Amino acid sequence: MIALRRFLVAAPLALAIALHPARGARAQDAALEEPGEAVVDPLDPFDILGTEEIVSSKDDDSKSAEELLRDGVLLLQLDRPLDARTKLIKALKKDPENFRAYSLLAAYYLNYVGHYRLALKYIKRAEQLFTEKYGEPPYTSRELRSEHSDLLYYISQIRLNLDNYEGALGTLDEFESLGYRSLIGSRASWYPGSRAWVLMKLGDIQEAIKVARLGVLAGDDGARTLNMLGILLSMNDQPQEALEVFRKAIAHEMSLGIDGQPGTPLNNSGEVYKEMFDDEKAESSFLRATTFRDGCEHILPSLNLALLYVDQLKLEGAASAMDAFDRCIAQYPLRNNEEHVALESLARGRVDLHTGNVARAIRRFETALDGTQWFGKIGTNQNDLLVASTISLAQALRAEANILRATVPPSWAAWAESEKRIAANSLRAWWLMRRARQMLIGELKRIEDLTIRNTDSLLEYPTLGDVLAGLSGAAFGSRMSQQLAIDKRSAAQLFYRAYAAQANRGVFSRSESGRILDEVMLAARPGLDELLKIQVMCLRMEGLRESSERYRDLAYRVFYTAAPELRNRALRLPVRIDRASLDPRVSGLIEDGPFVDGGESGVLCSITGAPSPAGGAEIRASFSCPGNTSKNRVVGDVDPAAVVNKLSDALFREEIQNGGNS
Amino acid sequence: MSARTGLGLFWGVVAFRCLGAAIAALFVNSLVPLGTPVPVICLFGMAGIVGASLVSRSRLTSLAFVASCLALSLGPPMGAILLNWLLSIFGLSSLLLEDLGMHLGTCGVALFAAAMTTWMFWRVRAAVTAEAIVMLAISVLLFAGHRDLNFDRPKVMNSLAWRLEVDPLAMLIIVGTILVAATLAYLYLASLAARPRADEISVRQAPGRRQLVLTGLMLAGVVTLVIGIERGLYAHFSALLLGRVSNGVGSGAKEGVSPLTFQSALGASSQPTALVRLEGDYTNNPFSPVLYLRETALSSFNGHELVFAGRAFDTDIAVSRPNEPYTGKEDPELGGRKPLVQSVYLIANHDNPFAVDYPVSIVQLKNPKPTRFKGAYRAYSIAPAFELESLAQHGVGDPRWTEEVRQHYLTPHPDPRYKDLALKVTSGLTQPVEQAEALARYLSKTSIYTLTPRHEVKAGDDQVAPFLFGDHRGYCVHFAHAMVYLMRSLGIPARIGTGYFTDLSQSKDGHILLRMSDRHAWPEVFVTGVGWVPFDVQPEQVENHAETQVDPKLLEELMGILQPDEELLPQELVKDEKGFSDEGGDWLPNPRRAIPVAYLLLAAFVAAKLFLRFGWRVAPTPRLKLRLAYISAASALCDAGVSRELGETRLDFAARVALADLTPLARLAVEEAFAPSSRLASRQVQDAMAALGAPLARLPLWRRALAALSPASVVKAASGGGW
Repeated sequence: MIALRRFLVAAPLALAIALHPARGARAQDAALEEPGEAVVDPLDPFDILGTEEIVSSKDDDSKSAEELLRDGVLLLQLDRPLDARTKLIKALKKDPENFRAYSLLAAYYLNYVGHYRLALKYIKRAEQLFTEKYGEPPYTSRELRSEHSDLLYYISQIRLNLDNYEGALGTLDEFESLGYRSLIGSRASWYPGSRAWVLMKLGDIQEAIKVARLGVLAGDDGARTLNMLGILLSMNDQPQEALEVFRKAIAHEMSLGIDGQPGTPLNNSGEVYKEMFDDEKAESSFLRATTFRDGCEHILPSLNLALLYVDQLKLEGAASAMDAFDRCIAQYPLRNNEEHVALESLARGRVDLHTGNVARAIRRFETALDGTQWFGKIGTNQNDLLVASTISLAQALRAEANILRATVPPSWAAWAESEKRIAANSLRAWWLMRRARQMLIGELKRIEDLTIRNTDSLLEYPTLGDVLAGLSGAAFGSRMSQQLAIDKRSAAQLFYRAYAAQANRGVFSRSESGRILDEVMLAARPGLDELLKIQVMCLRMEGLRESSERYRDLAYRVFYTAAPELRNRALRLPVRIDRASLDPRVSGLIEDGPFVDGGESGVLCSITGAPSPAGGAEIRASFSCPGNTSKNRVVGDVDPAAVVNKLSDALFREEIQNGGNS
Repeated sequence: MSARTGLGLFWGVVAFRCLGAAIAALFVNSLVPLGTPVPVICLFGMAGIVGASLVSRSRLTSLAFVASCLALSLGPPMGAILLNWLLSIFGLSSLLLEDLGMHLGTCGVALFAAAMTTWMFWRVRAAVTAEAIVMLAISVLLFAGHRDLNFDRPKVMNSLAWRLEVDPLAMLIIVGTILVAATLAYLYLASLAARPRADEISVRQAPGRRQLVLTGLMLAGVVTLVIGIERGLYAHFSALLLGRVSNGVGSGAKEGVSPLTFQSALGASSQPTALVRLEGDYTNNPFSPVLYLRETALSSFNGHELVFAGRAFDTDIAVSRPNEPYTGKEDPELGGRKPLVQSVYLIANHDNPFAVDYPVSIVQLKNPKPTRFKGAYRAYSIAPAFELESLAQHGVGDPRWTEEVRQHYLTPHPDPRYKDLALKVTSGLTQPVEQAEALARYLSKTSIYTLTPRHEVKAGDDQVAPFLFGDHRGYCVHFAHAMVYLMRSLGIPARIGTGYFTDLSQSKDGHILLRMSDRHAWPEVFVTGVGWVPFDVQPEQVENHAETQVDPKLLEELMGILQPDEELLPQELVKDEKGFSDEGGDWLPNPRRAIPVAYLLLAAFVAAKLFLRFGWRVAPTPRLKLRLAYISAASALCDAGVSRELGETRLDFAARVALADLTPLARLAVEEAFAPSSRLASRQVQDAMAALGAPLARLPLWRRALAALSPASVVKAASGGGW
């Protein structure tokens, strides 16, 4: 499970924070050494702490390092991080042997910037200076023990964020063995949550549960430890217990008022509901999470919501979820895009793919592949994103090749260009699928993410069969039987059966494969498993003759639910072509597009000619489906090829607002 | 040509091809992740090259070669699949075998491709030419990425340039030259190497010393010429880079000259140009989350465009060089402003410094890394801190201006259409600020952003009219000019600000990475009591745009350079930390990884030396023992600098050697070679070796030590022997 939690525990600052006395004198920035009017208003009634005066560097030269550090800490408290950083660096330069300066800078880079490598450098230097000054632990003085425990805290948190779990565990062991938990009491309440997290990452779930339970019993950092415990219980296949723990966490966070972070446990409980296939409750939890500051400023609840909507083919909803997140994150200008750009591109790319905006989807998946995610804070890892983006990119490339195949080239040059792109896309898609399979087996430990709706992964489960189908029958069969033995959720079985039918199309008889797909189609939950249903229908259509009644029936069902999927998968829509009214140049090209002449009977939609504007050379074609006017379209152009292509675009591409053109 | 030279050339060609294969594998992996470790792929590719080279000298037919090559390449992956299938019968099938099959498949393809091309090289006469043509065509395709002055493409070349701290343009030129030189060298080498089954004459005349000297001289001449041309190319294009092609907004503030270009903004790229570090919070930024960094201003209308007016007018502009200190003057009459300190680290050359709004002081900073930054300065700006909504209450223009200055900022465009349009757009509005906002809104709505407007306008004619009264396609230079002309026609004092426009949401810890694509020109209005304020156009329709995300890794790397010095934060502190990979090449080989390879090579070297010296002792048959014994003696002498010369018989050589009595062993070897005896016994070989004694015993200790370390015998053995 992805755990959303920025460990923004109030830094256990060693320094006493003293409010800086407001000085009455007119402040003048010493940096502005050149003559000039002072620009800070000393009588500003809202500047009750004399912030501008603290920010001012006028007296910095005469201040001691400790005074500068105090200013820095105060500025951090006042949400002036850049001013604080400048003060801390000045303090460091004034007294390069002052371990506190390094320690505070480490805290700054850990908590405010998320630059963990730099934070690690600072904290290691702080530790080095500390031990040079006071010798190796254990220390007898209470003050030194307290200082040292703070250093260990930062080291453990930074290592954790750098995915160095063994190192973090070593530091936590040292913390424990030196008796700091009992020494600093409630200030060490972060300990069980961190230890449980590390143990979870190292795969020792049972021990992690034990640690978290003890932490909860001891009342340590209530919400954080409860969250951790909930995540662990969910991983241990105890979803009901996990939900109960998250409920407590939500109540605890709500009781903290404005300082609470209920978005985190709400998102986590949403993920548990999603794994339980209780989509309505999952959606409600994610939606509620986004209404709180911590749930809105971090991408995970919005991302979960968007991915849930994609599974349900509520594509506008998915795009809106991402838009809402964009609006929220814009309120935090100091935050860097790298936190979310890759994940957002992935979600938006999937919306684009399923709405037929394939070129934009490809660009977005490539951005997702290039992007660096600030994973330390949300608990997932780079490989999950890499695999998910690779598969999605391969699907988009295939879709683009299929769309090109269904596009009538207006000239020989366009045909040659199109053939080149089809070949390049097909080759690249094949290679990416192959690479994704390698990563699923290698980096992702023998397809550990095969468990449907495993929220630690970013896979699109309804279409995962596209990549699994490339595995050899023997290997896939053995892995699948293993999976079926451990996953007893009935809703999940549908997905496994669909994968098996897709992967074994060459092994099973056509009728056997078709029978399984039909069963999945019938059993899929209406309104919730829509993407799975469409996937299965398309797979079924691939095994049928275009002239068959069953094909026609499925084609129209897909067309009315998710028309772009037909063209994306090179499936043609049966239509009645009215050759009498249609321009012969156009009617001759219709079947080169994503349409097939379905004859006269049983075909719901037809393409007919439409009158051109008076005196114009424009050729017009009209598409209509009696009984469903939402799909009626009229297009026109002077070039017959363009008429077919325009009609194809009008029918098989949905225009929805999905975060601009980037 | 002698056999020795022939073998040397043969192995030279093989080595050349192996190197080429390794580079190709690295390059392909940087474009498409191969999944299988590149060294393993290289190993298979090299095996294919060496194997095919050796086999090509045999009588094997091409058909047989292709068949065996296919079997070798496809066998292992097919074997893995078959094994997996067999195991599945017993319920033991494994995904790991599937994975292994895929890796073997990749390696098989590498082996097949390398072997086939090598086979063709040795067997088909035209293959070399075809290969060179294909190689050059691929290179041309690759380098075509930098057309339209996009010098930071291809991406792989740009990353390499960044890692090696070389200008990307210089990198392109250097790599292009190396490629051409390598192709020529390859063709030359290939023309010398004997290809017994491809060439009509199987043995060629080795180049004489004079020929080699002449070739060397010619090569030196060509290289000098190429270097000269390259320097000229570099000088020309590097001037273009920031001068004309960066989003159409060049650099420089010369009186009567505009750094802007109307024809095309192509060439804008993500190439980093500067790193700006805010030294304090800028909480009242009215344009948040974007930031304008002004470099110069264009306010003088010369009849067809706006140009720099000089110090007489735009007094807020820091007209200095980035490496010169500057002292300006704060305007006490302007309100709603606050001091803002920024440190600027220039990555590309700039003619003028830039800063947020107007700087009152610029002081130079110590360059933290001269190989990375061209210079550094700290600017003390008086930055805007007003609320945009409050501007509507203000008038425009400065009451302190003389009539001459006022007229300067109001000089209108003579074309009456500007005024007509401005009046139409602002009809009903009386406040100048509202009028300016209405014009900006109008242009934002109607304009189409494109980097390639391609308007056909003669030099000296109005470049803006085809945009504003034509297709509305243009970029910031068109928008800014149009706004200024429209505003001036309404009596609003306006000018164009140039510099950078950046999105703070892409910054980190107050560090902003500026790229070529962030170069910008924007219209400004002088608002009474506030100063020059941007009234920028943000087109709603985009045809094409060079917008790219800031590379966070690059930003972090540059931030790392600005951190306290190594003595404060030594790298040693984190050297053993897991999860800590400091800035370094993404795909460049890590030198640390070379250590095991070096150990392996060393071990192979020692093993080869030991085998050469003592292998005869373990030989199973007397004949082999004799052969190895002779090699043992000859290799020891070779390491000591004594080896058989061309045309010298073994017996003559033995007679010449003064270090040891080689004659009995040589005689035995020769007799055995020309009249093999079935009675040869191991004892005879041992006796001959005993007669020889320790071959280097007569040498001083230091020479013996040197001989023990010498690679001469191993190299000779690897290149075909000839003991």
